[in-house]
Amino acid sequence: MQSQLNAQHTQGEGRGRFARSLWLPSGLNSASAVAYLFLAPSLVFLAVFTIWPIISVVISSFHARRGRNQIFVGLDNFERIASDPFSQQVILNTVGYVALGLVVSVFGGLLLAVLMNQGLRNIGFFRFPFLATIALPMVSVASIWLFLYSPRVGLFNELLGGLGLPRSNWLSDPDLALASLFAVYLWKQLGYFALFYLAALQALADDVLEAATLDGVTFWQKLRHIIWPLVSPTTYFVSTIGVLNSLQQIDHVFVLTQGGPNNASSMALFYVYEQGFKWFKTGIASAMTVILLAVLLTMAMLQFVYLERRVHYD
Amino acid sequence: MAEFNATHDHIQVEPIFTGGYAENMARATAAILSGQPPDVAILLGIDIYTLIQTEGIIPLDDYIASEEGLDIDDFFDAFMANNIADEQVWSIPWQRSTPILYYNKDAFAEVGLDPDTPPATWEELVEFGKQLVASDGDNVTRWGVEVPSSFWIFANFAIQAGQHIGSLGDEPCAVYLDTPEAIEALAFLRRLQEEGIMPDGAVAWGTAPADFIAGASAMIYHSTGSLSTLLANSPFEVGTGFMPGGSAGYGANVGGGNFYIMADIGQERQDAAWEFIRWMVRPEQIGQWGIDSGYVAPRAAAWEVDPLKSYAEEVPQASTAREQLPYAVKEFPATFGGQEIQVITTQAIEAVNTGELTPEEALAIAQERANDVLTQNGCEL
Repeated sequence: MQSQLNAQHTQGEGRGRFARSLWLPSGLNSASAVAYLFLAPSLVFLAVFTIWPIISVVISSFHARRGRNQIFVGLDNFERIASDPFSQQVILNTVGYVALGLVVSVFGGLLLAVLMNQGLRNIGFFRFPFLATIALPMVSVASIWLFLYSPRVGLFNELLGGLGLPRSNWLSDPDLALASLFAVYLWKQLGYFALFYLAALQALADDVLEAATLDGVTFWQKLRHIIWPLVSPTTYFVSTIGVLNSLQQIDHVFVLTQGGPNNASSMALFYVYEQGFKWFKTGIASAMTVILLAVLLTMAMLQFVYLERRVHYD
Repeated sequence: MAEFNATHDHIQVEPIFTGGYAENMARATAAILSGQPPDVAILLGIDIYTLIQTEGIIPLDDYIASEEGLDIDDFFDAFMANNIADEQVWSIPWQRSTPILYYNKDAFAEVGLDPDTPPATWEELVEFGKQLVASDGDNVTRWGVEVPSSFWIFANFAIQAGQHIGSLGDEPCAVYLDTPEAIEALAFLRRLQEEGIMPDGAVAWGTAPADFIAGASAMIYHSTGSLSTLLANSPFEVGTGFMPGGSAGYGANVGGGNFYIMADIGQERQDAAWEFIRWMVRPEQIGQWGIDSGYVAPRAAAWEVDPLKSYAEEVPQASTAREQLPYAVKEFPATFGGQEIQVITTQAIEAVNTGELTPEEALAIAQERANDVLTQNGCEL
């Protein structure tokens, strides 16, 4: 979506620039032809790697595999997803994960950035651990957390046990498994969102905040009425990226729980992987992908229409 | 492999490692469906119907009967059960297994049990297990037993209770998950937890051997294919025994990998694949692999020649799984859609191991879901 929007922007600007230029007197038509010529490489890539896969996944979602053949089944795949308690649970898990991910990445990220932006001495020392996690690949992170969560020799249970508290079966307790995955995601990604807010905060003019301080405005009032509106472009960006990011979570599901126990921590992308690439039920996997795509497109539109209006870019 | 390539000028074999059996099957299926199969693949016996369904493999009877053939009767019956469909042989056993009981002999001696006598029945398993549990205050430092929450392990308990959850013959549409025997088996697994012998929650396949080696579990159920790892890494003496018997006595389902030859690769490559397989399953070769891995060499001849002959005399644990074979039957789930039915069954076990559902509820759901998978694959139930 983002890349399509960018493509349109570029196209519009290109046309204007060429229309004004002197060395192309024949006017708009050849100018846009030139623009398309320059755009052609991107358009080809877009068509081959974005548009065609979308079309083929939609087609595939109306089919089911029998042996080597694909047969047309109409809306059957969608009905199966809607009526199967296990896929319902997957959707619920995903919605909860994404919603919580959105809230935490925006507010947690901002708060963390505000703290990192305090003019403390040796602040780099505190910034480092939060930002270092961004650089780590999720698979390695998940493998490390696998040990931390280990029921009998893991760090968390050792600590809890040491304090005389009851130990938990982090990854194989159906009530905890998804939350345990979320904690890993948060640990890894919060610094990423904070980084954008930190950049936004450091770009803020000091005089506004100084004036507010002189007027006796409290920390929370400053955060709510001055910082929050001023970083709104970042919030818009972070919320979009946050939703996309959390929807795309699969690495840690794969390494830590494989969606278990009893489907308790499965999420949309893992479901698609399992249906499509383990059991080769390409129809069901495509149908779920189409649902994901529809949700993402709708959300992108909503964010574009509503949020963008309320964002200050000055 | 290098040795084969060195001695065969006209054939070069290039191995590809893809992960466990499930990943390997996924990779092979993807390759078959995209028309670019490998020449040979080592896959589970239970995948036979899925592979036939995608027309990905060829029957091997002509090769077996040919001049450059193989004495197929030399392979143990239990290890051929999953390799035959429509009265044709589709794969040659390679690294085969059954689950067995591993136990910590030092722990047995410590609590006053005879280190040479593993539990023989479910009741003894409970009794021994209770004695073996050690704790530090409320915190259990050693569990009596760990049984991985896995379809393949659960199947043995159902057999021991008197009814296999899979079919015994050539029936790709048969699954028996909601039978009284299966319910009894799953209820027994739950009982191990309720009695405080086994940790609560689902037990991951890889956790059990790690805990066993660390001394955090005195007995585990695991594949005989883990034998070498456990023998090499355990700082105590490892005992092995048959899986304890239930109301129907001892029972096991087999497992492990077999050589399949792919369709669509041309006669020449298929001939080369056969030559490679024949070379790999030579008694000395397959015996050596059994020693290296812990898998059961699947043919009698391998046990009668060195290196396996003298190894089996030195390491008696290596023979446990083979001696258990008279009680072993076809691997579960040898059906259409088997890969998905594996997960469905494991999910039912997890639901019971975590206390989410009763055995009746969990297995009723699993049976319904398995039936749906079978129906989707053209079975008429």
